[in-house]
Amino acid sequence: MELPDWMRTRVRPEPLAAKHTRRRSRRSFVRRAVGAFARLLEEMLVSEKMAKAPGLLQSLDARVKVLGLVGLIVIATLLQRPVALGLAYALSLLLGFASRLPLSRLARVWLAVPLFSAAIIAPATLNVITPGPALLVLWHPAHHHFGPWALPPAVTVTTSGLAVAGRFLLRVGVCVTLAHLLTATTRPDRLLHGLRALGVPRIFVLLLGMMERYLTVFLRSAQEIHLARLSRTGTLGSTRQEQAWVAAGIGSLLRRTQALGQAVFHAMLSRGYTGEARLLDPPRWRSEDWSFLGGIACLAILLLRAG
Amino acid sequence: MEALLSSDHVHFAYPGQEASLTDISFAVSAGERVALLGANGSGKSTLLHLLDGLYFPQQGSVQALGQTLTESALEGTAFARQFRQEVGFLFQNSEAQLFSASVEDEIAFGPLQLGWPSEDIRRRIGDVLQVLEIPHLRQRVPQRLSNGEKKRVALASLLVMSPSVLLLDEPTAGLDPRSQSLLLDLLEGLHRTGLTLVTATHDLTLLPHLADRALVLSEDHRLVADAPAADVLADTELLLSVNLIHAHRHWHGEVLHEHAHQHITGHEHPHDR
Repeated sequence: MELPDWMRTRVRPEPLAAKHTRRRSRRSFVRRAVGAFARLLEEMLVSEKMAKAPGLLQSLDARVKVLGLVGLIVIATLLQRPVALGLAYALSLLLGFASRLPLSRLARVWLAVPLFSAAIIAPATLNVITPGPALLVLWHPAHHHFGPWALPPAVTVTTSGLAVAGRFLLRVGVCVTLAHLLTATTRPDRLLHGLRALGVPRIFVLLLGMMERYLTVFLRSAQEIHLARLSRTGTLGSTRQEQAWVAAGIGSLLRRTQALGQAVFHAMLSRGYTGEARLLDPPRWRSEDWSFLGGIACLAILLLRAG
Repeated sequence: MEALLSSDHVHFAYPGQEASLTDISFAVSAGERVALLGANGSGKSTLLHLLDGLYFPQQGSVQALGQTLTESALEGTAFARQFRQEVGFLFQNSEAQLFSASVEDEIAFGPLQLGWPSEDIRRRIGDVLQVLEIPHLRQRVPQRLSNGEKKRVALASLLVMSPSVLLLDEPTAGLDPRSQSLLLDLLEGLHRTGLTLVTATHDLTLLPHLADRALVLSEDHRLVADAPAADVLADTELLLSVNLIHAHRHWHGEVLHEHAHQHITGHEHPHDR
């Protein structure tokens, strides 16, 4: 068999014209996506290490943590007074410090949560949603009537609106911090075991277990798709082109997801998985666990009385 | 001898697709070493999934340990426990098979599902890691191991359950020569202890090391031969028909030379054009 001429000769590609090479100093969007996947994988490993590290919450039985921290979350949703909510927030932070969680990690939760929550609750500060004494006039609309709807003569930020928003932000902050404490200080298999022991249905635990095990495989696969693209790309496209490619890559990833998910499920099934979360070191209730639960119960009563 | 695993006129197709297996019948006795031989896409892996009770045939039946494999038979029954302990499946893709946070957790997964005592599981984990020469990997993250190490951890996660049958899907794929040789030695040693091995492969060079008997699947997903491995290897016509050997190409100076042969033995060919 004879090879065609173009396969028998080696031609070095011409260097790109200056106009193609000069303008780019930014990082490829695809490369940033690869970096993000790698960071997520790294973070999963760090979380695993953090859950094994010494600390108050890490030393407790997962069942105790689920009971105590989920109990506190429920109580936080019932609190009305800012002082009580502030105390609950302080308590969650204390638990974080006692568990030696890195400050940067906690700070990320504190920063991200108020930001998103503030965006959601912002309209509630206006007199249009929450009537009350005006604190700041924002706008005098020229037309007050829009079909069946009518605006007040002035759109203002109200003190009662701010109180509603403040309460909401505090409540979300407390709940998310407590949920973060639970997941950051508990290994996933122990958390699932704790949920199952507390009566969470087996199908729910089964799905969570599969999802948790599948996540690493999924992230690695996503990283490979993007790396394969990078290895065949000599130049950067425009950001829009690259974003379009990443979006298309997500589509292909979803198709892969199905096959990979099934492979992981089969590998679990093949070794007898029935949805029960089982541990090599089954936890036993110890005096520390009882003390923690007792302490949380006392604090919960105090918080309820305060707020 | 009574069959340990058998397939009786099995037909199987993935939803919305053409048949992956057509009219497959065979039986495997305890202690046998059988290879499922076929080109890519011939249905070897699918057949292993059926033998492991992960898929079920649309027609025909698969039996294992004296029972027909059905969804209800493998749903929380005593037989399901026995089956999952006795039949181990080494997946081709170790990435999918290794899903736990540490090698120890990975190997403990199966025994924990069987409800074995922790102390017993720990002892077995230590033993199996020694046998596979990887005790230093015990606390490592499986996803960060080399291919050879991953394969050994995956095998350890099966051996810890004391299976009587191992289903191996392309066990040597992607391994370097040293890891390949280690794995083959280990499988040979396990076979000598009475373990039944069913291996899917298309690698003819490894066939003599992996099996004494070969079931050959054609590209139209039928079983076209069931014979001793040596006989199958000697049957050039058969191997050509199922695309396991091919027209070999190599260069003589400037000319690409082509002739059909298999890659399992040294060969000579004329240097004329």
